[in-house]
Amino acid sequence: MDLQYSAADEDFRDEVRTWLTENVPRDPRPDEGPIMREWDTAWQRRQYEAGYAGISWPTEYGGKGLSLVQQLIWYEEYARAGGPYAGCCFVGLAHAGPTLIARADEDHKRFHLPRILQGDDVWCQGFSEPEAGSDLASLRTRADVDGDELVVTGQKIWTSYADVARWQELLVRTDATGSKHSGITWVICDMTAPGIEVRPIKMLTGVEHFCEVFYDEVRIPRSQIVGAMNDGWSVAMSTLGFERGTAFMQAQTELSRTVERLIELARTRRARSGAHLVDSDEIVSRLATLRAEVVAMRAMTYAGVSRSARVAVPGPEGSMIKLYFAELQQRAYQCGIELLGIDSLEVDGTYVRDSWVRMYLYFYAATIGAGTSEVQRNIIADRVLGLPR
Amino acid sequence: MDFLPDDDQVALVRSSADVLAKELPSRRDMVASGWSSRAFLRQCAALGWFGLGVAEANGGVGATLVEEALLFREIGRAVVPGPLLPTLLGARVALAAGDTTTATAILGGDVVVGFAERAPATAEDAAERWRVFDASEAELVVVLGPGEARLVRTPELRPQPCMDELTSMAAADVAATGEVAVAPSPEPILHLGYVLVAAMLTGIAEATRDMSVAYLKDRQQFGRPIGSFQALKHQAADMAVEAEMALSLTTYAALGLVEGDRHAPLSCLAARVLTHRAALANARANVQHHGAMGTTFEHDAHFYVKRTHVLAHLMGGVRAPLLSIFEQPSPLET
Repeated sequence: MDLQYSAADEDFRDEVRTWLTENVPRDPRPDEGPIMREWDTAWQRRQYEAGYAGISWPTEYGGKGLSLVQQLIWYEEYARAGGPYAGCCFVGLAHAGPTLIARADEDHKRFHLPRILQGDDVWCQGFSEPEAGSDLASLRTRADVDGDELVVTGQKIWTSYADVARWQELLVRTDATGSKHSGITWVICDMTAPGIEVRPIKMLTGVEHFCEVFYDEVRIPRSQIVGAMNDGWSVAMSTLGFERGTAFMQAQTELSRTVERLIELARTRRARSGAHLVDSDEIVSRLATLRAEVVAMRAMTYAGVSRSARVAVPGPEGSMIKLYFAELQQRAYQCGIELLGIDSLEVDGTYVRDSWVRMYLYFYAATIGAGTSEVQRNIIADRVLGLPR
Repeated sequence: MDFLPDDDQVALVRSSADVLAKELPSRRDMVASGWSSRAFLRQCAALGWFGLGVAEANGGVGATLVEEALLFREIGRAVVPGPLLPTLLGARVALAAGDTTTATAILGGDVVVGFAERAPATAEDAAERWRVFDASEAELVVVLGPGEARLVRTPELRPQPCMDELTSMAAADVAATGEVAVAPSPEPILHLGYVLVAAMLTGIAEATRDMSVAYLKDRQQFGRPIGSFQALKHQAADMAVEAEMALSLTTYAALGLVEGDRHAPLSCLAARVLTHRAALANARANVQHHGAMGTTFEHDAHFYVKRTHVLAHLMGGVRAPLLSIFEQPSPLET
C-alpha cells in the first residue's frame, strides 16, 4: 500500500503541468449556445493537437491510453491549472465515445471516434424522458421498423447541449411487449435529420443548458444501431466498464480550490455586526470541516481507483463516492452563500463559473443528475450492503 | 500508488482479529467480572503490538504506521478495553525522550500506560482538573496533546463512574506526580496518536454498520425483513458511506505520515475529526435500527456509543484539531 509516484509518473506530472499552465484558456467560457460550442471544441482541438485528447481511451482508437495513475495526475493537474469543465465535448469523450469503443462496428468507430477526439463533432445524450427519469428503463420514445430504417416518435428531456450537438446517443423502445429492459435499442441519431425539434430549457442559474428534444417520425438507418436490436440496455450499461473513477480527481481538486477560495473569502469579510467572520468559532469550524471533507474526498477517490483497478467492471462502490461528493459540493456552496450574507443576493460575475450565487444554484443539480442521491442510496443498500429488495 | 492492503497486511488483520476474538471474554462478562486487562496487555506486548511501527533497533517489529493502523482498526472494531493505545504512545514518548529503559519495559509488557487528560476548570475551583483513563493497573500515564508529550508516574487515583463501563476513569492530581520522560517534539507522536484513534473509530464505524446490516436483513416485521424498507436502507447506505470515508481517510493519513508527505499533518487532523463523526453517527444509527433492544444493557450496541465518547476526549479532544485545520497551509500548495 503506498501513495508513491514513480519517477516516470513525476516526469509526466511536470510535463502536463507545464503544458496545462501554458495552454489552459484564460478567456472566460461562454455559458450557452454556438459560441460556447466553438469555445469548447477549440479547447478540445488544442488538447488533441498536443496529444492530450482521450486520455483514458485505448491508443488503437486514437486515445492516449494512460495508466490509471497517470490519468489521476492529468485530472489533478488539469484542475490545478484552472482547466474548464469538459463542457459540450463531455458526452462524446466520456460516454458516447466509450460506448462506441465497447460495442460499435468498426466503421462507426473509424468515423466517429476521431471526430470526437478532435473536437469536430459534439454529442448529446437522448436518454431521460418526462416519464422516465430515475426509472430510465420505462422509456417510451418509440421506434418502429420500416424496411432498413427506424421511424422514431417521442420526446427526450434533460438533454445537455442538444442545441449545439451533431450526433446523439439515443435510447428508443423497439419492443413494448416483453419486459421493459428487453425492448430498448441504442442508436446513433443524426441531429440534423428532419423531424427533430430542440427546445432549450432555462435553468435556475439563468442559463439554457438542458433541452427538450421532440421526434416526429424521424428516420434513422438501422445501420446506426449499436449492438443488437433490443439489446440497447446492455449497450448503455457498457460505459460502466470504462469509468474507473479517475475523472473524480478533477472534480475534487476543483472543489478543493473552491474551499480554499471560501477560506480566503472568510478572511476578508465581516458580518453585518462588523465582527470579522474568522473571529467566529462556528464559521471557522464549518470551513475547517469542509477542508477536512475535501481531504476525505481525495482519499476516497484514491481508494475507489485502487479498487476499480483490480476488476474488469467497476463495482457499485462508486455510488458511495458520487453520493458523498454531490452533497459535499452543495455544502461548500451553501457555506459560500452564508459567508456572503446579504451580499449573496446580488448576482455576481458575468459567467456562471465565476459567480458564487450562480454556482450555488447550479449545484442543486448535483444530487439529481447522473443518478439522484436517493437512487445512489438504493444502489449502496442493495448492491454494496446486500439488503433485501 | 495503491490504497489497498497487500497480502501480508491482510494476514496481519486476520490474525489480530483472531487473537481478539479468542482471548477476550464477552463484554457483558467483562463488566460482570470486573475483568483485568493486565494479562491481556502482556499478551499484546508478546505479539509485538506496542512496537509494530518501532524500528527493530529500538526493540520494535520494524513495520510501519500503516500496519499499526490496521491493527488498531481491529482493536476498535472489537471495542477492546484497556490502555492499548496509551501504552503504545507511551513507548514512543520514551523513545523520543531517549529513555530506552522505560521504552523497553513498555514494549516488553512490564509497564503499562494510561491516558491523562485535562478537564475544564469549574466556577467553584480554578485548580487544574484532570481525568485519567485506564490507569488503575498502569505504572505510568501519558499526557499527549497540542504542544505536549510526556510520561508521568500514575498519581493517586480517585475512581469515578464512567459512561463507558469498560473504561476505568479517575480524578487525579497529575501536576503533583513525578515526570518520567518528555518528548522534545510532541507533534509527530500526536499525529501518530490521531491516526491510531482514527483507526479505532473506523473500526467502530464499520462494526456498527455491519451489526445494523445484519439485523436489517434478519429482523422481520409486517411480513418482511425490515431492511427492505427504504428509510432503513437509506440510513444503512449513509452508514456505509461514513465507514468508507473513515477508512479511506485514515489510510490516507497513515500513508502520508509514513511517506513524509508535507500535507500529512492536515490529513491527520482531518482523520481525527471526521472519524469521530462517522463513528458517532453510525453507533447512534445502530442503536436506532435495533429498536428497543438497542437501548438495553444486554445488547452490545451501547458499548460502541460509549467507547466513541471516550475516544472523543483523548489527546486533547476533537475541538482543538478541528480549529487548527483552519490554520494549516492550503492542501493545494506544492
